[in-house]
Amino acid sequence: MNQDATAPPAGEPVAPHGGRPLPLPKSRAGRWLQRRLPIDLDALRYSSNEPVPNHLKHWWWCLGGTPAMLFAVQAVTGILLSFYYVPDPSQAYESVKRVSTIVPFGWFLRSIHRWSSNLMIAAVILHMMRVFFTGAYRKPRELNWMIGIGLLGATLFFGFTGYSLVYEQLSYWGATVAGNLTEAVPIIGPYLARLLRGGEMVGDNTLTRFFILHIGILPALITALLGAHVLLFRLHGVTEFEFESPKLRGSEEKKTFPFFPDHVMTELIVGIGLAFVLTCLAVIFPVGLAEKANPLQTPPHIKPEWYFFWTFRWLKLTGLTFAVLSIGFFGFLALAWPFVDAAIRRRRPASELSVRLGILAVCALVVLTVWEAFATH
Amino acid sequence: MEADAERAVSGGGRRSFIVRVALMVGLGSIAASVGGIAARYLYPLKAIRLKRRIFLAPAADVPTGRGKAYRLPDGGTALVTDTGTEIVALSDVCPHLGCKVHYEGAQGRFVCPCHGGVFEKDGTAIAGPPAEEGKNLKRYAISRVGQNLFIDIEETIQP
Repeated sequence: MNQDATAPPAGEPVAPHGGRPLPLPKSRAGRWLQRRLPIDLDALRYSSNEPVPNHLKHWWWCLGGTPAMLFAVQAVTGILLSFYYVPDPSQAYESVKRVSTIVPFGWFLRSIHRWSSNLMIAAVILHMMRVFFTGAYRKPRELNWMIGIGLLGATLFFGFTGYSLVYEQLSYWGATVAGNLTEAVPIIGPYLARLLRGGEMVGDNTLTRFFILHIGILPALITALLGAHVLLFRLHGVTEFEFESPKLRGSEEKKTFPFFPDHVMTELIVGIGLAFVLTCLAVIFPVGLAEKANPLQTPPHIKPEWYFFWTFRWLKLTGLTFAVLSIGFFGFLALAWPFVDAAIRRRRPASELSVRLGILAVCALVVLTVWEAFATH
Repeated sequence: MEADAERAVSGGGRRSFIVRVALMVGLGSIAASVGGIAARYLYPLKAIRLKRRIFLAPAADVPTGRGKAYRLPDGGTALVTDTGTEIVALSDVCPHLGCKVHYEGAQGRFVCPCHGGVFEKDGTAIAGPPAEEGKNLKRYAISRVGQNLFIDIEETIQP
């Protein structure tokens, strides 16, 4: 029943933390809300509608928002799928089958979930390529590049744990192969593999672990990394480039446009386009269900999802230990690239090495992926 | 493509207004579809009810004056008693709030542990909330063919 002694009388402006008093809203409802939610709307407007360079009107510069939107699709469809999924080796496959065949719209939600995961990985790769080839990872944005690499790793691990949950043949044998690959890492490998599988072999514990990783740990990790990624991007602002094309450069007097609502609207158009593409893919190519996992029989032809094709081919071309170590090295090189690149450019400022290496890496990945896609063995 | 985007984001004018309305309609219809699909997906399918008559026990096996529990294929339990005048099969689910009743030998009655409902051997509620509401234990239909008893059950299958 006590009145709050510190609350200003009605009609007085609110000053959060004793700071600058907020402008008093005109309406009574506005004043009521401001007292309960003392947010400085001007400050919010100032921090959200910063001017962004004109080249952001180009579709290539909307690729960063795409994986984030697809992640939101994943979250919504994933939560819905988890209502019927049973993370138990004896029931997992049947529960997926039930969702795909009996539950209304189950097949559709599962197809959207699978297709948006594939598109998310593709979008992350395209976004990374855009950032890499425009040199947007350079000082002072090295940290955000590294967070981005972390997001790529988390997204790939997300995809892997996701298809393990279905508990079809690929799920089981994919997990077995991944476990044995982990074991090949020198020194820590065997411990890491045991930790991942929850034992010496893929079994009951493994599915529970993958499930918890897929619905709890990885979503939390991606959300945190994504938050840091966007925060850093907003703090640094969009990288400014010099363009020849007047369309990208903008006119002399109008080189920028506001982030909100203009760029947000472009992103929303992309979002509607994505919703359309995903619906078409889910309806035209719904996700099926292969044979149930059989720990006693490895299928004659087994391939991972397309985004792991290159590792699979690399593994076949080189030895196990070499493949594991070299993939680890490439990962580390990608992570540390902003610093390696800076060291090269200190010695040779005009060096185009990063672009050449980038093209080489993209070509190598495409060749390995296509090779694996068309090879029978 | 980028020319369209440029026009879409350049602000002001009738075209911009149309783009905004189209965006709102697009986003609104996506939200409505997602909501509708989610509701249909989460709401359970209509349960299938099957009525059938199954063999229960030889009539001689039913004890006089006290309930004998028979598990039924639908997961429920029938308390079967020979009251002296007739054979009754009662559901063990209390009509008050769904707890399971049990037979109290000393009182010769069925008692619900949750809120103290008491029932006669023939299922009539005599004390506690079920008696106040006038709700007796549900009876299964029993039929006798020769020396054997058959019971009519209704199974609920949740697809």
